[in-house]
Amino acid sequence: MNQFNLLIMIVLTAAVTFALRVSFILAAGRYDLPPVVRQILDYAPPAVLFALITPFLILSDGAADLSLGNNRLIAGVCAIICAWWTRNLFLTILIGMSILWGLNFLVG
Amino acid sequence: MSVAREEFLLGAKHLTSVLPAAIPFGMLMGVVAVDIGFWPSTAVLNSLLVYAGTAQLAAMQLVDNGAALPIIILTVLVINLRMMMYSASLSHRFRELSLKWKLFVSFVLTDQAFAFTWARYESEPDLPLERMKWYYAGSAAPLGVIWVISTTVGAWFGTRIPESWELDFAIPLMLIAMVVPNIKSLASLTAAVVSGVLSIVAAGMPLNLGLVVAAVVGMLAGFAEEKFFHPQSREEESVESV
Repeated sequence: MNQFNLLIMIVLTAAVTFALRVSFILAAGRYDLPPVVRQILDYAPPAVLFALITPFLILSDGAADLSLGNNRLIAGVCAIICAWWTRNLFLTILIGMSILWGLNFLVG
Repeated sequence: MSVAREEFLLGAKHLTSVLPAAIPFGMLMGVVAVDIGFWPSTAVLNSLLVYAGTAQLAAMQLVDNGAALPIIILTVLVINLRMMMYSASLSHRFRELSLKWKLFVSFVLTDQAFAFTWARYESEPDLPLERMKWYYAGSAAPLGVIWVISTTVGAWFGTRIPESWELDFAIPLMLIAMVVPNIKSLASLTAAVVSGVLSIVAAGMPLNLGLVVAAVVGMLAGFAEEKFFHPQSREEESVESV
C-alpha cells in the first residue's frame, strides 16, 4: 500500500472509530444497546483477534503449514503460552521474537 | 484550588498507573508501522486520528497481508464496537454536557478512560457532572498526548531498524499479549478457537472475507456456548444494570 492509500485508510478507520465513540453520547441517553447485542459483542475481541493472528502463524503462501519447520507457528505458540502464564506484554514479545530469531538463525 | 483543576489532576494521577504499559506500547506501534512501510509522519497521524491501539495493530496486520481496504475498515469497525458499548454506558451520565464537551469526550474515549470513569461512578454515584467531566478530561486527554509522542519516538527508532529483523512479527505477538490474558471463560475460549480454525479454513475466500466470516461465527459460537451451558451466569449483572 502506498502512502496515499495508507492516508485514505487512516482517515476512514478514524472516521469509523469516532462514529462509534460519539454514537450514543450524541444521542444523549435516548437509546440503549439491547442486552443480547452487548452479550454477543463481549466476544468480539477474542474472535476478531484470533481470526487475524492464526493465519499469520499458520499460512505460508496461502497453504496451511502445521509442520515443525514453520518457525512463526512455533514462536507464536510459545508466545501464547507465555501470555497465558505471565500476562506480560513485553515478556510475550521478547519470547516470541527471540524464538523466531533463534529458529531462523539455526534452521533458516 | 478550583474544582476543575482538582478533578483534572486527580484523573491525571490515576492515569499514571497505565503509563508503564502505554508508553512502550505506543513506541512499538511506531516501530512496526515504519517496518511495514508507513512513513514516520503517517504513523504518527494514525495514532493521532485513530487513537485505538488494538484497531491500529489489526489494520497494520492487514496492510502487511495486502488485504483490501473495505476489509480493513470492517475489521476496525468490529474491533471498536466496544467503543459503542462504552458510549452507550456513558451517554446517560453525560447527557447534559455541551456539544463541544460531547465531541471532546468521544474523541478521547478509550478502554482506560471508560474504566476510570466507570470506577469513579461506582464509588461515588452522585458525583456532579461539573466534577465528573474534569475528572474524565484528566484521566483521558493526557494519554492521547503521550500516545502520539511515544508513537513519534518509536517511528524515529523504526527508521533505524533493518528489515531482516522481521519486526512485523511483533504485530501478532502484541495482539496475542493483549487478547490471551483476557480469555477467562470457556465461552471466550470457544470464540477464539472457532474463529481461529475458521480463519484458516476460509482463508481462500476473496478479499480476505474469510477473516470477517471467521470473526462473526466465532462471536456467535462464544455467545452460544454461554447461552447453552451457563444460562444463569449473567443474572446478577443484569439486575445490577437495571
